[in-house]
Amino acid sequence: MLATRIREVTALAAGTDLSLATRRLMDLCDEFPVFHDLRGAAMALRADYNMGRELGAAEMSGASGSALAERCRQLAAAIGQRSTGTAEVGHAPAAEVVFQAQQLTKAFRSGGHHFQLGPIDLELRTGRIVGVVGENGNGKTTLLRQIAGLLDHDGGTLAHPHAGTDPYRIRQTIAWIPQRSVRWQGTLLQNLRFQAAVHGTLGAANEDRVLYTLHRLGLTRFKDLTWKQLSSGYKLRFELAKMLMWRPKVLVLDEPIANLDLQAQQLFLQDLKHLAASQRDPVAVILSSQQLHEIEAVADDIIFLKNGKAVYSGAADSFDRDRNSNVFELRGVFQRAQLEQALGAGAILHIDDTGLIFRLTTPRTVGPQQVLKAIANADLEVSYFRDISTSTRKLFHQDP
Amino acid sequence: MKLLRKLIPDFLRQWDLELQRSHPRLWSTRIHHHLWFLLLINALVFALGLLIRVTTVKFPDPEDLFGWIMTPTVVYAAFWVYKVVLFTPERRFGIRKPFAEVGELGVHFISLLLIMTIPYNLALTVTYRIANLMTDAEFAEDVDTLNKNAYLFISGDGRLFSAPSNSYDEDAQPYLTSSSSHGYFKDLDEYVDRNRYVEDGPPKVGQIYEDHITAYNEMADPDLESYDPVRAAFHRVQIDSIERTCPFYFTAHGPFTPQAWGGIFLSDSLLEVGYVDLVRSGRPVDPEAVRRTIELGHVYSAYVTDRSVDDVLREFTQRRSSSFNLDTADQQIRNMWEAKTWNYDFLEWDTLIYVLFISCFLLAIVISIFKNLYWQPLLITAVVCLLLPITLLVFALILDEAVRNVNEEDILINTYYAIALFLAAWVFLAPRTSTYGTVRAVLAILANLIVPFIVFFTLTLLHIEWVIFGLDALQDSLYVLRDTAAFNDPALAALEMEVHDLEQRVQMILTVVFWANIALYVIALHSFFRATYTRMMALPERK
Repeated sequence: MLATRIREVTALAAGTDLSLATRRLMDLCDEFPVFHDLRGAAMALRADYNMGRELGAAEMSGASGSALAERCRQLAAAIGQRSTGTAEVGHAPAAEVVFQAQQLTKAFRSGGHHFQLGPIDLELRTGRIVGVVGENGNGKTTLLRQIAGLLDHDGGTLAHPHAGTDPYRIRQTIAWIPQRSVRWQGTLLQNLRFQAAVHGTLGAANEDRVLYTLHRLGLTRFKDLTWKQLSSGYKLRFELAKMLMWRPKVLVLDEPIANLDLQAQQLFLQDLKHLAASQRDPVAVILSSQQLHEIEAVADDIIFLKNGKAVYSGAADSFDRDRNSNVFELRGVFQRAQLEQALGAGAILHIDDTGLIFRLTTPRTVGPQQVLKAIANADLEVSYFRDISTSTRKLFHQDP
Repeated sequence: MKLLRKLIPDFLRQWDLELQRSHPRLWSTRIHHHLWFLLLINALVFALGLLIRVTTVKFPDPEDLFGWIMTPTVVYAAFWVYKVVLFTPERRFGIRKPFAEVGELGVHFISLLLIMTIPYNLALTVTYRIANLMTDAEFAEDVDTLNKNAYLFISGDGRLFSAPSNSYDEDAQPYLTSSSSHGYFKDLDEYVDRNRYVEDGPPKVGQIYEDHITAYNEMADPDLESYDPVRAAFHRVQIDSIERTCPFYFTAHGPFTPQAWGGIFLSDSLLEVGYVDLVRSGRPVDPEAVRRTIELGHVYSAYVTDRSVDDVLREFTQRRSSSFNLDTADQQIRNMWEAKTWNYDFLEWDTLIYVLFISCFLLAIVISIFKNLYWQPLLITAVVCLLLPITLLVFALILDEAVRNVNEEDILINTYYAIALFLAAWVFLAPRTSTYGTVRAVLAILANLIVPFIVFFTLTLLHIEWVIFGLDALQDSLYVLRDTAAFNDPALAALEMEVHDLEQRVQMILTVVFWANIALYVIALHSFFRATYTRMMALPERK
């Protein structure tokens, strides 16, 4: 585990993504006791990166960027040197079950409309991310609220192996980040300090934890701002920072990236993945989203809800592995007939024209390379292409 | 807010940081900022107290000042409450410690009491300055001087009625228009004895006087059937005669001492003694005494009429009302006496304990609970507490039989028990009802407000309505014995003693129960309620 992580930071330090490199260096020094003495250096590196980078700029540039990159490489080298001859420490943390739901149901009846969620079986394990996807009004938020302990269930059983049955204790292990963050008072720094202190991190450890988190999540320059002064993206990062203050076992996020720009989405999901898989404090993450591709990229497991039922629940990379056909989405400057002609009749099972894109279904034997090659041969101009054969996106287009 | 932050010194910022990191509960009470800002505010208020104009002629009433300064004090208190309720471990599902919660309640209580230093500071500063405008000895001397000479300045005709505007009997005319102010009495014994009623004894002068006044009032009024001006004039002569000889002045007072003097001039019988002595002795009035009195009148009031010594002496000799009015000086001296003896309502023990202490305690409870809540439940609670008595009143008005017996106390006590019953019922109904976070919060606030006084209220109710201590029966026996037994019957004295003892015992029991109930709440129930409440708040919503 340690060797993998060292290889990762060494590679990152040699690259140009200083943001990721500084973050991972911090994580490594924080999570493994053998590097704790380098924690300060990693933190200083990250702090300099945060303060040196222009607000909104993708990356540091110029002499300062080069100098920082050099320092990253030096730190990575020091870590590499330190690890030489050190016994392999820290295996990948065992994925502990922190939440279990069996045959979970919830029914609503309002104005003649009846909706039932479930029954759903679900298991959350530390270090793993579960993505809940589905169209609007299919029960994603209801499911997440039940997992977060905010909403009671009608049927089935819930278990929190770490917290027993005391509701307060259970809530102490679950962090809930709603779609719209609840307004908080005071400055970001005050809130983080308070959050850490009320969960038992006191004195110098409190300050250290807060500073570490501020630097790690790039919030340093916003530490004295209030709720009103922060953008949606930073509010979300603040929620994540708060969570880091008390290290819950389960992190539940409802549509966290709905209001983020693409760069912020990437950054957030990257952090989420790293935090979930933390060596020291792994956390089980469950999040809902409409940004299917981003979620599928980060989630280990996917639950697809349709009319309250889990149409799919399982590993993200196992979806429709035994399929008979492939499905592609594409858009370009061509007509349906041109596409049919380019691919030939044998390669097409079905073409669905949504008006914006074509959804092409081919036999399993026809892969993305063949489709793209055929299009290129026909000299058709393509502006968008995606293979959704193993994506739950396919399920969006199935009639109920 | 930025200005306020600038007022915080570095050492306090350091404390703030330290508390924030290591004592989050204490930090969230904002006691450190509270103490600092109270220090600043009190310094300002103290300066204001020093700047307010205080002279013997004019100074503000400290009780009025206390009332006025309460408005900014309440504004500050509201600001403080707002700041205090923002951070709470429970709402963040932090670590809970029962005794920390009691400590938190204590800090809130002390903080609220400290807020009250603002009005007390202003009122006491001004009071101190008024009290020290002159030494007690100087003040006593002035009061004595005014007392001794006050009979020279008696103004108005001062008696029970004025002469009617129209008179039909010319013989009675001189009496009807005469002034009866400068009365004197011929016999001190008669004066002392004038009202003492003895059964079957001859009527006393006081009784005769009252009879004449009654008769005069009935006969002098032209609107009444009994109108008879001639006989009215006769009664008027009698009245005037009595007033001249036995003026109905009462109490006597000694010279001023801060402890004993009641702030009242010697305008009563002792003045008359001095007057009678003067008249009997035939001595002339000392003009220096008059001059000194006029001078003192001006020292204590800007509104005394401007009269010369000769004017005063002339009016006195002619037995006319004095046109030199000492009333405003009299009032100012009474005000100074209040300041010198610290004799104000806001300094009464009852005010301090039952108004200040209890209201601060109740507010501290609300703040302690409210820290875990949001505005909505608190507002709902306030509406519930207001709606219930209104509903009870409406029912009382509909059932007009009941309305005769309904008063505010009944409505309040019924509201109190209606809430208590509702809470008791809810405890059993809770498992079967849909429960929302807001409902739980409202119930928690209500429970915290009801419980600290439930034993005391119930015991008081049982004592008053159901006479559980048997005091009424004993008092009834005493009344019966008073009617039947001789004045010096030892059984009567014994029973009176027994009633007195029982009253004292009941009072002691109620006091002990009152404080024990509060202590029980603080030590045990407050933590229990908060633990129960936070546990309930952690439960998922049912909907």
